[in-house]
Amino acid sequence: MDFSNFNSAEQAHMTKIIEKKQMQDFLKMYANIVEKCFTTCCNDFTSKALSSKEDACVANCTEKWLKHSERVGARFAEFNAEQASQ
Amino acid sequence: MVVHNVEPTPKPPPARVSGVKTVLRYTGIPPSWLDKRPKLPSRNWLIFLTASATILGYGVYDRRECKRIQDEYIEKVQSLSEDPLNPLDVSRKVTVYGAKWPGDEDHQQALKYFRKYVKPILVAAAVDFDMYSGKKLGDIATRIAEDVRLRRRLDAGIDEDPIQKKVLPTYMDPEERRKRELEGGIVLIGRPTFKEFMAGLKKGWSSGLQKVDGEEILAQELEDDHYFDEVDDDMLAPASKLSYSPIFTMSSQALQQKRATPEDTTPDVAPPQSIPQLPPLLLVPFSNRIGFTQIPIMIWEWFNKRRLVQSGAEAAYSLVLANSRPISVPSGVPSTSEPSEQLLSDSTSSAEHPTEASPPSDLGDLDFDLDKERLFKKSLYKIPEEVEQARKEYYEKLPARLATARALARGTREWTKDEVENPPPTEVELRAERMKREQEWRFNVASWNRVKGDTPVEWDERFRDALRVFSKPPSDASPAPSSEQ
Repeated sequence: MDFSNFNSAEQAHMTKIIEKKQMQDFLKMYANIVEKCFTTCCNDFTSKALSSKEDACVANCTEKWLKHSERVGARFAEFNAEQASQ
Repeated sequence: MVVHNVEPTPKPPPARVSGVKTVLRYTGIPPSWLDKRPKLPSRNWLIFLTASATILGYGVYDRRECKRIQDEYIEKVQSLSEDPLNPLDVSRKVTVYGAKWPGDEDHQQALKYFRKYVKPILVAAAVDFDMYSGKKLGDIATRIAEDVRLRRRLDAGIDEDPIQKKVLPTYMDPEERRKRELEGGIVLIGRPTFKEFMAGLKKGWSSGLQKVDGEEILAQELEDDHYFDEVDDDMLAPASKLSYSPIFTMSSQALQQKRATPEDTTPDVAPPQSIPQLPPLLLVPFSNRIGFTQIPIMIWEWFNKRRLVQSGAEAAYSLVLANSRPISVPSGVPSTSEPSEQLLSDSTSSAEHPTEASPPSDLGDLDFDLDKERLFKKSLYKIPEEVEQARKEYYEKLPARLATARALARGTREWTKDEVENPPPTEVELRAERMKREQEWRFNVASWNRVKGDTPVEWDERFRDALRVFSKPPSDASPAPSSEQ
C-alpha cells in the first residue's frame, strides 16, 4: 500500500499516519488486556493487595492474550495471502 | 296390609378397617376409593400402551447408547487436545473427501455423515480437517488429478510458491508441508468416493505435467463431425459463398483464440515409475438409501443409529491414533486400463444391470464396502442409454435450428413475429451449446461408468508401496500425548 505513492513526501506522510495508527492499536490492545484480565481475575475486593493467585492469573491472562493475538494474526495473514495469490 | 318385619335383619358387624385405610379414611378421599382393587386397563389400552412403550423405549435406548458410545470415544482421545502448542504452530490436519452418492440429489450426504459421526472425535482430539464435497459424480476425481499434477509440478521445480505465501511467518517450504501432510491423512467417505479417489490418483500419476484443456480436445473431435458444415445451397451465388466461408473459419478461429492459454513450455515428462508415499487413507463405510421402497429399512436404520456411531467413532479413533498399515491387495490384481481415456471418454457400454450374484471378489482393501453397491438404483444403470437417446434427439433437431440461424443471419428470409420476440440462437450460440452438452454428456457417462457396480476400483502397481490405510488399533493401545515441538 505504501509504495503506490511514489512521491517521497507522500510516503513520509503515509509512514507517519501508519505509525500513529499502530500506536493507537497498541494502546487499544493494552486497554483491552487490562479490562479483560481485571474482570476475569480480580473479583475479591476484601483486600487492597493483589494476592499471589490473582498475580498468577494476570500473568497467564496477558500471555494467553498475546499468543492468541499472534495466532489470529498468522491465520489472517495466511488467508490474505491465499486471496492475493488466487 | 303390608307386614313390616318387626325385627329388621341385623346389620352385619361393621367391617374391620385395617392398615393404611385407618389413616386415610379421615383425609377426605371418597371412601369408595379406599376399597378399590388395582385393575389392569382394558385389552385395547394394553395393546396401545405396549406398542408405544416398546417403540419409544427402543428409540430412547438407541439414542442413549449413541451418546454413551460417542462419549466413550471422546473421553479416550480428549487428552490429546490438552497438549500445548506454540502460537505459530499448526495442529495435525486431514483432508476429507465426500463424493456424491449416485442417485442422490443432495451431494452433501457423505459429508453430513462425516460431520455427525466422525467429526466429534476429531474435534475432541484437536485434529484439524478440510472438507471437500463432490457436487456431481466425477468432481472428486478431477480435483484429485489436478492436485496431483500441481504437486508433481511443484516437486519437479517447474512451479513455485507465490511470493505472498513465502513472506508469511507461518510459511512452510514444500518438504515441511509434505512431512506435515504425511502425518495427517485422507478420509474417504463411502465406496464411490474411494473409486473416484483412486481414479483421480491414477490419472494424475499417469498423465503429463501440462494442463490439458478438455475443451480444446473436445472441440477438435467435434470439428470432425459434419453437423456444422456448410450446406451446398443452389440459391447461394458463388461469390457470396466465398464471402461466407471466411465467416465460417473466422468464427471457429475466434472461438479457439478465446480458449488459448499462455504457452506452456513444460517439457513432456514421462510419468514416474514409482510414486512417493501418500498420506494414509481412512476408509469410512457409508451408505445412503434412496427410494420409496427403502423407507421401511430407513425407518429401521433410524432406530439403530448406534451402529453408525460405533463405526464412525472407530474409524475416527484409528485415525487419531495414527495406526496405519500398508494397503493389502493381492499381488495378482491387474492394473486397470489407461485412465486418461477413461476420465473423459464416452464408453457407451450397454446398460448393464447389476449382477445379482456377483462372484465373491477377493481384492483385499479394494473391496472396501463392496456390499453397499447393490443399493444403487437400477434406473442409474440406464444413464448411458438415456444420454444416447438425448444425443440422438438433439442431433436430429440441430440441422433445422442451424438452417434457421444461418438463414436469418444471411438475411435470406424475413424475421417472423415470433422470432422477433424470442430470437432463436445464432450459429455461434448453437456451437457453444453443442460443446457444452457434449461435455456434460461425456463427463456424466464417464463418471457413472467409473462408479457403477460392475467397475472395479482403479489400481496401479505403483500404489502398492505408496498407499497406507488406517486400521483398527489393538485394544490395549491408548493415545499417548505426542510431544509437539
